[in-house]
Amino acid sequence: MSGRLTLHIEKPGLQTTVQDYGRLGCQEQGIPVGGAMGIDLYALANQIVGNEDGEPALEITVAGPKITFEGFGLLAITGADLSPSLNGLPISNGEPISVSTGDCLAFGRVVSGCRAYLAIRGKWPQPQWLGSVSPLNSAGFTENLLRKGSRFTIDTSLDQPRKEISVKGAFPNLRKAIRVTVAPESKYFEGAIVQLLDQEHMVAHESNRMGIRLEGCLSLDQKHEIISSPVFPGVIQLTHSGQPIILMADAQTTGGYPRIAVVDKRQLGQLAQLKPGDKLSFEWNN
Amino acid sequence: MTFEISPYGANHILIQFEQIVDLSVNAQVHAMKIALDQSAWKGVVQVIPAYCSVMVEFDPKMVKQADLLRKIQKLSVDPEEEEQSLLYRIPVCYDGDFAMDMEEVNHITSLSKEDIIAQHCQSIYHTFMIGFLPGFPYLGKLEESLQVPRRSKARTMVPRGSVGLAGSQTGVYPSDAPGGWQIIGRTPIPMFDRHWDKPALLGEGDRVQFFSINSHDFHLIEKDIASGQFNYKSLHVW
Repeated sequence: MSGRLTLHIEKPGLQTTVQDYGRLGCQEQGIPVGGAMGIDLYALANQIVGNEDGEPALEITVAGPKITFEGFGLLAITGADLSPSLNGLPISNGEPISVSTGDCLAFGRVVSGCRAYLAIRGKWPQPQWLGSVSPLNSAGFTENLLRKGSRFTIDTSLDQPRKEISVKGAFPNLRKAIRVTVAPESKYFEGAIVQLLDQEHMVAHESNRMGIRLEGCLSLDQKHEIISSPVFPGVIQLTHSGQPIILMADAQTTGGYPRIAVVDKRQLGQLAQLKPGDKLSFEWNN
Repeated sequence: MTFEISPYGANHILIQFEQIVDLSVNAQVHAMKIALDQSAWKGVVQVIPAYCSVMVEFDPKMVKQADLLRKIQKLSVDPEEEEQSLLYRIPVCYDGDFAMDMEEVNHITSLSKEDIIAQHCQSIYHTFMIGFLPGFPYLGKLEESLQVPRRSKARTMVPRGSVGLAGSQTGVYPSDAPGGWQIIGRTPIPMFDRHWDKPALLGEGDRVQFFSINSHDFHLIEKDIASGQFNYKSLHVW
């Protein structure tokens, strides 16, 4: 059976990108990992529609896009509740939803979270670079950043059957404390780590796919300079003013600020759901 | 060769050599990177070198952190065995708008523009590491007379190809990016091209020497590159 679904992007939203798992293995050339900020929810969206693991999906940030469809297809949304609707009627996260010619998917106000993932059953046509579709501005790879008027067609004729899967977890759980563990400079910043663990923190406005900055500063036990050394998503750096930055998917590959802790990889998806003004806390993972 | 080795989160290990910017320390980093790559241990995802540290990323489902720490500890590494790397000769135009901070560098160092260019072109630089931006080479060490602090306020946009100075380092911006290095010229040679098999021109350990060109030659080279006529092999000296 052959089929096609064309997406017409009427409005791109605030920041809608095509994402997958990113690029592993080329960080020694200074190329960030990139990829979906919330890997688990991205993977879940693909599972619900019956795609192969690693198929591209849309990452939708805060203000969602408006998309009209041509053809027949099956989609699923996971992650943030951004009030999705089909032809003006509300639809639910975590459920497979059929669409056909003329249907219009739109998003409204933010109910919870920050990033949603939209998977569509089929083979996506997006160009890859170094094995990933994820856009990277600093390398000039911006093809998969959605713009008003862009369109693309998904080949919906997949052989593999779709399994009915449980959709528990289609919404992120935002209540848990973020687990952190030891980083190379942890031993020099005991006071700052105590503050990191004891206090509640707020996400600052200057946060993005490269890093989440926290409001306020931790006390600096001492000024500790380091010579630029490798970093990766999840590393918490302490700037010279004492402001912590949690590195996220698009983070640079080396850094010169002391590294006081590392976020457990499995919890990066929770951080991906935090907007400026949201609160978070940390706990030490032994 | 002495180093400290420690866990770095649950999926990474950091190997730290003497924490200084120094050619012989960086040679140890490079030798460690080669030794780890050649070992090809199961579960090691990638090995990332920097100035005086090496990071090992591993898959905890395939290898235990404690086991990997022990194996690295026992690894025999010989920095003397390192092969002589390629020398790249990179053309730079040090004139006019390309050299946005030439006056300031001139002021701080008390060197004339001609002396700054002559000194910058005289040394053969070593690529300590690639970082900050895709393909950004950290080159050094600069002669002490050319060492200047970063700009007090970083620029929101430094053009691609800009050649800058910061402390004991010099480097080339591979793409338009914000940055605070003091810019003394620009090269038409791309440091990074995502269409190349290996997108970064330089790798850790490669050697670089700059030579001065005028703006006429800059534009000729730029044109050759744009039309696909440029012979990249002309950058190498064996």
